[in-house]
Amino acid sequence: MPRATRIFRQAGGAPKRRRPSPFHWNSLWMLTAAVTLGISLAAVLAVTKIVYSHANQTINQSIEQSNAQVDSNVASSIDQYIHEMVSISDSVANLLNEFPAAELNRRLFVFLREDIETIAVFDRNGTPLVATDNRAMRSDISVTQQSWFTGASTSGRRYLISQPHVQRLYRGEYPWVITLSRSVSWVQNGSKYYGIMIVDMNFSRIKYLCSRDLESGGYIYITDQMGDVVYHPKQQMIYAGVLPKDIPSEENLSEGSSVVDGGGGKLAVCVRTLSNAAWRVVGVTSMNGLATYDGGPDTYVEVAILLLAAAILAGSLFISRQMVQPLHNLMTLMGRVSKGEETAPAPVTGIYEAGRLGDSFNRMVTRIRQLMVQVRTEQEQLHRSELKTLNAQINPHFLYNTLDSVVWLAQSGDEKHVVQMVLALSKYFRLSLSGAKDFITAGEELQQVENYLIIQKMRFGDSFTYQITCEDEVRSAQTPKIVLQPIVENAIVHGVGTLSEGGKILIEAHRSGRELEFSVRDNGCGIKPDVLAHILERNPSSRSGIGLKNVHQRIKLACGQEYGLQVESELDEGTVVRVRLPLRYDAPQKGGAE
Amino acid sequence: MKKRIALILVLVLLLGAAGCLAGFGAKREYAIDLIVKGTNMDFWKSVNGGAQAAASDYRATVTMTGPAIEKDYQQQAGILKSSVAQRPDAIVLAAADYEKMARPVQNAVDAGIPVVMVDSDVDSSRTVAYVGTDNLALGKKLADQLCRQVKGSGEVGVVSFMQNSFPAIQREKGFRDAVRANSRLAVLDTVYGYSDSAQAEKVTEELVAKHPKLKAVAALNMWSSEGAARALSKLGRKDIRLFAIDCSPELAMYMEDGVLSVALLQNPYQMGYDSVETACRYLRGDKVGDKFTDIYSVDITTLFDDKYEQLIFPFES
Repeated sequence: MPRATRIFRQAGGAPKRRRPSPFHWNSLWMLTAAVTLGISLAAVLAVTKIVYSHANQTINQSIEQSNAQVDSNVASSIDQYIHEMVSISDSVANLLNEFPAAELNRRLFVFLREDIETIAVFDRNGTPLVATDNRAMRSDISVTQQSWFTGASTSGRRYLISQPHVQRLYRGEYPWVITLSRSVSWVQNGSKYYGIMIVDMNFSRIKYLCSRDLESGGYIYITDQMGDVVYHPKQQMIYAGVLPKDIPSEENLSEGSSVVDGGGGKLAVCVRTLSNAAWRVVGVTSMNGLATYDGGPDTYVEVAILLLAAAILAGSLFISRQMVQPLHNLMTLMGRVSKGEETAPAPVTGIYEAGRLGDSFNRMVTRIRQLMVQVRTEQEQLHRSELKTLNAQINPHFLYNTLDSVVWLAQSGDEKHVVQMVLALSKYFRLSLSGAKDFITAGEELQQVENYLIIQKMRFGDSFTYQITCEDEVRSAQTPKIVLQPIVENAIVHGVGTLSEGGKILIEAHRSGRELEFSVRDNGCGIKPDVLAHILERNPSSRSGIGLKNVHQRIKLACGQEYGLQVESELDEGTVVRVRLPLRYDAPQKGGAE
Repeated sequence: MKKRIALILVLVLLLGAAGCLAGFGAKREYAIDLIVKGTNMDFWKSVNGGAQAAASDYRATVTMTGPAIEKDYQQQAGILKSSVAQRPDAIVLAAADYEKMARPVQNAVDAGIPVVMVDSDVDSSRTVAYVGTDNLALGKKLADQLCRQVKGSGEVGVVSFMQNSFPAIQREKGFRDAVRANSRLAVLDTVYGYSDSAQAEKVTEELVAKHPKLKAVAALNMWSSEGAARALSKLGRKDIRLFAIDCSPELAMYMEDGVLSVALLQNPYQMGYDSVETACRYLRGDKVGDKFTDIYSVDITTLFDDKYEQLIFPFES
């Protein structure tokens, strides 16, 4: 997570303070990680379980089929084997008719093979006549007492196959055999003889035939109709009285293939009854499904699940980190901004939504900062302009000059004009210094400027005339105070004041749409175009028209940016200054003033 | 720093997953050492047969080790020590000496390896269990058979196999106590064949020669019995009745010859099976305890009964 890391470092690089922790249990990070992990694991487990059980079923089916197949093959091989043994006994029986016993003894060895322990013929008294073995048979036991002897002589069957037993025809030898016995008859020297023939099979061939590999540790055993074991791979164990765990019980041994419970699991059992012996060949395989294969596939599945779980965990931690990290950074950033710390907005990277959120926040912070700067500048300007208003209100030069004029008039004895001038002066100052009010009515403003004009006209020796008109409708409209006086002063000083006579000043107040408009016209010398072009610009280096600039700014501050002065002028023709103000009849709140 | 915590968290989880894999991924197979008294002897081969059967039933691997023939305990102690060094999951042991094997057995237990005793116990309370014949009962049963068939007064010889073997001591004690209680027969001093039939044959011949009034001989294990039977057969003394513990095909032949009157059968196969089963169940966490295996008595009339012939004659297929 190189990117996330970088951001993380950035956010964490700030001096230590109480920070929101991403490890809180209900933090978005933890919740997202937990939910993602939970859902994915559940899905993985569900899919695995389905696949697993399906595989188990398939494997069990194939186990059952192959078990039945192998069992049938083994059963027919053993059937074939018994048939072979019967054929051998037939051959020996035929030879009995052809050769005398002594001759036959020498010829019988051709029938000897690994899996045949003994072939022997006894007469009806149990005396051995012929045997494959040259050694002397024991005389101390009576073979007529043996079940294979009595059984063969009494049963009507062609041959008899015994249970496994210990044969003891020779002293000190006790081999385990299965005895095929039959009664035989032969003719010798014209008389007929009867006897019993035996073929003793040891288990080597049967063991070999039964050792065919069954799937998954299965095995094949042989049982007779009574349920006694003829051959079992764990015969010694059964003889010792310990029954193998996975041996199916007798009632489960029905012909054909079936599935039974036993030995801590399901067993596939296949039973085939032989035709040449009263035996049943039973194939048993435990149906463990996937577990059959020595835990091999089992392990793979477990490995896969665990690796997947680890991957999901890592992935969900990573994804939720990606989601939460920018938010976390944003939280830290907001905290710092809200405390008023001066921080450069940090770039927010990560997922798209968080990036957008961060961008918006950054834009907002920038905008707020701009607004703060603007407010501060405006405050400063307001402050300055108020000082200037104060200056205008009590312009000392104007006072000195006026008082000089009064003194001069008084010396010349012009009482009437002295009275008129002092009266105008007193009225002028009364209005100028009228309390803390910033706004007055248009009528009052015009009154004010008239007082000023009366004084100035007297000082300038009636070298100009003036006229004030006002629409009744706007007489009571509100206007910032001392708006007209600087304009008129400008008109007198730079306009009509330069003419020796015939100067004219027209002051008018009227409504223009939703605005109140004052206009001050003079027929003075006008303003030079290059001066006119910059007359309202805030340029501290230009000292000309400073009164006009001041008024212009004050109006903008008090009424809004769209209001202010318009100056039109032509050289030697005159100048028109229009004052545009909102038409309002109630005094606005004292906006932003200290 | 938090990133490091997260990293450690993931690593721990991965390690845990790996641990789980090692834990239940590999299907656990118990490795069990079976240490007997003589690997070449039929009795122990039969024990091993039962042990292997149990091993296949309980998914375990059983390895039989021990001296080739039964000798003194020192060789077995050395084998036990090297077995402990291999760290099997459990050891099944037939102690060659009741007292002297106690220390090596306790060392094995101290090393964290559970020990199950089979056939021959050891003088220690720290073994898991004893699986085998109740030797006291075996000796007593032998005496009962003898007392039933040998009446009146006379002398009885005892051919044992080891002085310090716990089963030998127990059998002899059971036998002597029962004879003393139930008959007027005098039991002679015990002679020892050291689990060697030739040696047993020799000491039996000496015993017969020394004691003309000898009416019966009790032989306490297979090699003692075989030796005694050979001696009596060679001497042609069918008047001296032989009562044996254990029965081999050779002894069956002597029984058919009329030399051996009664043989008591143990079930070594069952001992092997049950001891390994006990070890496996103990390793699984089940509760296990001592287990006495079956004892049967056979004479010439029952020798070839299915049940006994199956025990006496090995089914070597």
